[in-house]
Amino acid sequence: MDLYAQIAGFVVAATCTAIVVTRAATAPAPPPLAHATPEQMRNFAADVAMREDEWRAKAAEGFPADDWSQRDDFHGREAQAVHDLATGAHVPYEDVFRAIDDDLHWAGPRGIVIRGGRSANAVPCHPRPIFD
Amino acid sequence: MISRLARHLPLRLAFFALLAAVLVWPVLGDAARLNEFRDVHHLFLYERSAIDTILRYGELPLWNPYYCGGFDAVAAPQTRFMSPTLLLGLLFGAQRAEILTVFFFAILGMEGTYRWLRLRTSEPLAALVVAPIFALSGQYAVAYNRGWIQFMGFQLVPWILYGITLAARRKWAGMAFASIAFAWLLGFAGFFAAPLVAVAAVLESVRTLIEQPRGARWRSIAMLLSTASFMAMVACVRLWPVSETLLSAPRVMAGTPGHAPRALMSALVGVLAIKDGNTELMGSFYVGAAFLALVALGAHHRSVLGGLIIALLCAWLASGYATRISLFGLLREVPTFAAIRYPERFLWLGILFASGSVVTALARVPFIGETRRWRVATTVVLVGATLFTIGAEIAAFHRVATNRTLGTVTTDRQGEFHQARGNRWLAVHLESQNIGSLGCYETHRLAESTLLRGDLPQEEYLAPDAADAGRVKRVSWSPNKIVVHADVSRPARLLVNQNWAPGWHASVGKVVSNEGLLAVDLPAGVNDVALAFLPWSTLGGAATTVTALLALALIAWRARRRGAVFARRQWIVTALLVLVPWGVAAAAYRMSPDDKWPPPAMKNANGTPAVLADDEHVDATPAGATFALPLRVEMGKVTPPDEHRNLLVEVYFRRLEHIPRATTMFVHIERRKDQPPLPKESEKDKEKQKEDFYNADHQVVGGSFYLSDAPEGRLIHDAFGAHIEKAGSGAWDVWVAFGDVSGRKGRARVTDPGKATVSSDRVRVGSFVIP
Repeated sequence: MDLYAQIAGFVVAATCTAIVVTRAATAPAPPPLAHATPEQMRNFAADVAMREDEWRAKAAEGFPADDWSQRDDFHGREAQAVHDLATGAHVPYEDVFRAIDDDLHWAGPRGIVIRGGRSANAVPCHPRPIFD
Repeated sequence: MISRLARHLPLRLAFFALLAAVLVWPVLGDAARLNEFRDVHHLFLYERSAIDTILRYGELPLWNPYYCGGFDAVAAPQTRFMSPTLLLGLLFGAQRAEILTVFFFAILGMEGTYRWLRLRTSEPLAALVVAPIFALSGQYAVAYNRGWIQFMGFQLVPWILYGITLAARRKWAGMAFASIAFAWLLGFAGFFAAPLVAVAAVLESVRTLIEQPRGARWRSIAMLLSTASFMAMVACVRLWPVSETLLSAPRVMAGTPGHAPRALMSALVGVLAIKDGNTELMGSFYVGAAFLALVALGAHHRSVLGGLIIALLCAWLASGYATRISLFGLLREVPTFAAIRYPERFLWLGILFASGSVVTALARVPFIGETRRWRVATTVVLVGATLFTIGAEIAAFHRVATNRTLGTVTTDRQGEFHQARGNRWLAVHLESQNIGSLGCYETHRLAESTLLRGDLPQEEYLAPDAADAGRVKRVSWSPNKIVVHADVSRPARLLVNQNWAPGWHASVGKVVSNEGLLAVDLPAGVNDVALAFLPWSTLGGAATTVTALLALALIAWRARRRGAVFARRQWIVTALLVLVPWGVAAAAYRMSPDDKWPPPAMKNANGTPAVLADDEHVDATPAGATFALPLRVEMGKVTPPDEHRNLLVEVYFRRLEHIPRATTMFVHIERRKDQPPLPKESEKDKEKQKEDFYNADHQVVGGSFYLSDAPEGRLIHDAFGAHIEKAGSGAWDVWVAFGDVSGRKGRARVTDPGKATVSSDRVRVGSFVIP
């Protein structure tokens, strides 16, 4: 009796596992989004570049004398802009980041001229110590 | 009959697998979609880049170049790939593996809890029914919602406690269970759980020791010490590298988090729900009211006393600083626990230890009455309440798991790897393009060079002072190995746009840290320079781990042949086997050819040095005021508000002797009282109301070190800012005082004012005027 029960238990456990694994492995991937056109990419880059001064100023107000927190706050605002631009144009986030990255790497040749206080340097991670 | 069947592993697994399948069922259809919660962007990046490094480059994931300018992936506390669950990622991809990991860990947690509970009950059915409560409790739902998959590793805690209990009962298998489960926990990014595990392990050890017969206690203690040793040594492959990281860049946590009993109760029985894309404390450790009622019901029996005392201690710890005497605060005084945060996580342990009382309720209450009707009725009610609890936990998981914000990642790794300014909030979307994100967040100060750039034409280049010495060109690239063709007419420094770390080696020239940037000093000539990352900490740690596992196997073999491992004629060999891994670790450490990390940088958040030489010229107003703590404020300086209305305050002080870790600097930015008061705005114009007071209290200098860790006698430069947008016009003063972080013990007395103006044991460090 116990042996049959054990075999049944093993079968149930294996079946549950098989179903879960199969369902996870075959879950549909989200449909791919269309890529941004070169013109959209230029607009993304220009849009972000134009707003960076404002983001930097707000970050400075929020986190005085704290370099990393200012940069992190700046990136938080940039992330929101990336989200808005990508969802507004129905393109992947990756395209907006590519546009910003290309702009920072090759600003001159690509025609985006708003450089101002833009910076592509690293601000070392210095997390705030308060987590109440 | 059912009770007897519960003893059989396949039947238990069937029950647990069914529950786990029901748990994950609603989210299996989303298995291929990215959870867009912010923390996912580094946690998931770590896992996916590790898998990609193995599958695409055929390398072990030792170095992760995709985040923060690159870091030692084994030495990072939050990477989770050193776990058997990596196989799931390799087979199904990092994304789909997440929910499978939740599924398997849930089963593991239930089985571990069952085994542990069974050590103290003769009723297997009660243990079987109660075991899922811990493994399905609300915090796992919270963790899944936030993408904190590494928190599933907490399901290994019952296995560790099971091992400890067995070891205290002088069973060799306990050493194996505890040490392997602990190593797995750490391999699965369990470093934030480790302090909690340590507390649980100590409490469980004490409880089990008390349960042992007096005559056997010394052998039990020897077994427990051996277990602790093996826990450290089996985990060494992970523990060594991460320890080096955290010693060079400690995690610093301040603040006085605390929860009133009502808040803790709401965490246990409240409805877990999503608010503004996140979960709150309410319901975050959901077990439900029925569970607590069952705990109370089981508390009548003497056998659960130990577990209940531990559960209450956990509740006390979970209350943080909310109680008059804070056990959590006392724990934080222990150096390795100083960075512990989120005291409510101790509820997790509380649930586990209280489960024993529920088992007792189920096992004993039906036998209080004498009639069959009583037994049947109480069994139905008690088991029903337990199953209801399990159902409510699963429902809570479904509620938050199905309400995640899901996104899509478009993968295109065809481009050459390069660093970008990046963005830590969406870093996965850069890594998917073979791009590194310099925008970085970690819970510790991850070593990141200020020379890293996200706008370079090429990632490997000659240092500016040798730019005319020749040229360099990338030949091949993989995360652990970069080959660069160098043609230089004179010795020159090659810079790589990634961080330096111990473990980088070059085939030509010498690897150096160029202000934290990876660099090689090249000789003149034409060379293909291969830079490879193979850290000694991982190699030495792996050797120790393997040795420890072999030693454990030998102990097991001897125990099977000769009985108790600490018996009279056995203990010397056992002790030697316990010590062998330490010998290997010590030898490996001594043989290390790698450079060491420099000591932790003591800097302010604005990048200025926080420790100054005594003869350094400082442009500030002398104060020379001594406090009773004892600290002396030497100077102060206040830079008036800039265009952002930001004030910069600089306090120069010395710690003269030992001060408690809880010492805080109270900073009051105060409009002078001898001026006309600020006009009161009407309710309608409340937003325009000017302020006459700001506070900038802090326990940590520049986010770098506690006041108590300031080098004794050295001049400390504490620079911090305050945004005083609504400051009313007039003259303002900045006052500094010291005291306990709780604020309950008042201010430390000023024993000698020196040249400073003192008011209410506060020292004025500067003044400014708002026009």
